[in-house]
Amino acid sequence: MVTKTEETQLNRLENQVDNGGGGAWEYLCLVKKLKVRRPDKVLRHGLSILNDPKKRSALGPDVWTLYEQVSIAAMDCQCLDVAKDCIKVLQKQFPESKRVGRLEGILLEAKGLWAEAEKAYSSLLEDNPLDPVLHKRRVAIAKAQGNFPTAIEWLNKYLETFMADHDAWRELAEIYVSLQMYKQAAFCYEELILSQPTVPLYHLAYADVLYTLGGVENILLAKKYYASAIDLTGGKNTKALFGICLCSSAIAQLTKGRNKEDKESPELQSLAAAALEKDYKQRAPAKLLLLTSALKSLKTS
Amino acid sequence: MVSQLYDKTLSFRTPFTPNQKPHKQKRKKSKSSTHRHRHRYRASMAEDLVLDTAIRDWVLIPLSVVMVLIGILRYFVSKLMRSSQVPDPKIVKEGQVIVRARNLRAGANFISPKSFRARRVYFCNEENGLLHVPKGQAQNAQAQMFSDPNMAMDMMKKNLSMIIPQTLTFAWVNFFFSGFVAAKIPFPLTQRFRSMLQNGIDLSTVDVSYVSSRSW
Repeated sequence: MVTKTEETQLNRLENQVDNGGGGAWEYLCLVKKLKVRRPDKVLRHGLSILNDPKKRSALGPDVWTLYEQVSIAAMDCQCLDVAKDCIKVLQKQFPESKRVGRLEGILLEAKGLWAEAEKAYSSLLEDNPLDPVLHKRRVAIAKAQGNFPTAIEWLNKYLETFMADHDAWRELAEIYVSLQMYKQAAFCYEELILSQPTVPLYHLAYADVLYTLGGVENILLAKKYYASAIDLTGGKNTKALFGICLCSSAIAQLTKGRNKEDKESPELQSLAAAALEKDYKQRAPAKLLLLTSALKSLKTS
Repeated sequence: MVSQLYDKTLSFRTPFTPNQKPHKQKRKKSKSSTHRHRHRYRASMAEDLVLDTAIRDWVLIPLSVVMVLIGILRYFVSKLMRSSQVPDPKIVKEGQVIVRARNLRAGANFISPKSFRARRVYFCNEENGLLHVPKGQAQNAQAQMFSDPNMAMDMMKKNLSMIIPQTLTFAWVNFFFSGFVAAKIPFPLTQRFRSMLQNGIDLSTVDVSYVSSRSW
């Protein structure tokens, strides 16, 4: 997760470089460190450095990492010739390298030659069975082909060995949600919350999944997680506020037939509704009428 | 007069004389002369010996510089000789399991009790829990270290790379810098250290605070 200071720094550098100021190399280093995806900018500025032999020699041994970064960005932008040239240069410098082999595999993937790419990765995996990036590329092939069950299988096998990799858990959760396997997705989100309990995104996604699963217990739990998401974001998360209103109305509907008294106080819902109205008044006053009518229907139903 | 004599014997102006023999002869003379006057200046043992600044320039500083350089050299050699270890899948998995279990403990309050219990059982189940080690199998870490051939090789290599430079330095220092007092230790020492610290000096009456260069 990118922190706020890093984000502001990144934006500042981006503006600086886009408007003709120097600092392209720092920008590229920051992008690489934060692992953000900005292929067009990386490609443009990286090529401007690489095509200038003076700047190239000024980089020293870092020029090879720059080649790698630019080749991946080129493949992202579908400029496959540029990517091929970069990989050729890297191949000449490092003939039997694992990393260059990986790049070649990614190039095959970008061209759409799935079978060859899979073969390349399997042969590389035989030599280094513990390389996480190769495993993930294989999963990416299966996902790009639309073959979700295979992707899930590979990812599960990867997670059996590398079970502390939270990015993989997140990917698995998203695949499960897209396949509507909500119980498994809930498990993955639980893992994510365990490893990073202060990230509100995971709480929100978990609450969404729980709400979709339905059932009184799940919706109660979902309400709690929406509340924790609001807590973690300082009350600014509109989706979580809406979530609370929806959960409260759903619980009221589901427990209508029972004679139990209201366990949950109605304060939470009214608080959330009030916060929503304030937010809309500030940011989108045109839609305020829609909001109030929707909230009213929720309360009465 | 006695102190003057002492001054002369201890001020070696040029330790790096190419011809070692007259150097040693000088020492032998001083030894015999001190023997004669031994009973006389046992009383004056307490007074300080004046050490020539040439000793400091030519001995202490080069020796320190050489020590530092050898340390640096040892670091680079060890970096070269270090064999890249192939990560064992079992060890990697164990590491990851530990991280995940630690996360479970730390974040237990953030997930529902049912899912926490399910995960706890997954880890600690008697038969097939991930963290459960049956009683007889927990291996002694040291026995494992010796049985693993790669690790034993690594340890031997490390030991060798430490021993060889030490012996070389020792011999070199011994060859060049033997036979005179190099420095004075600021705090008083007992007689037992004499053989350790005053290796090249054959006078048995010199205060133990004065050390030869070998101890440096």
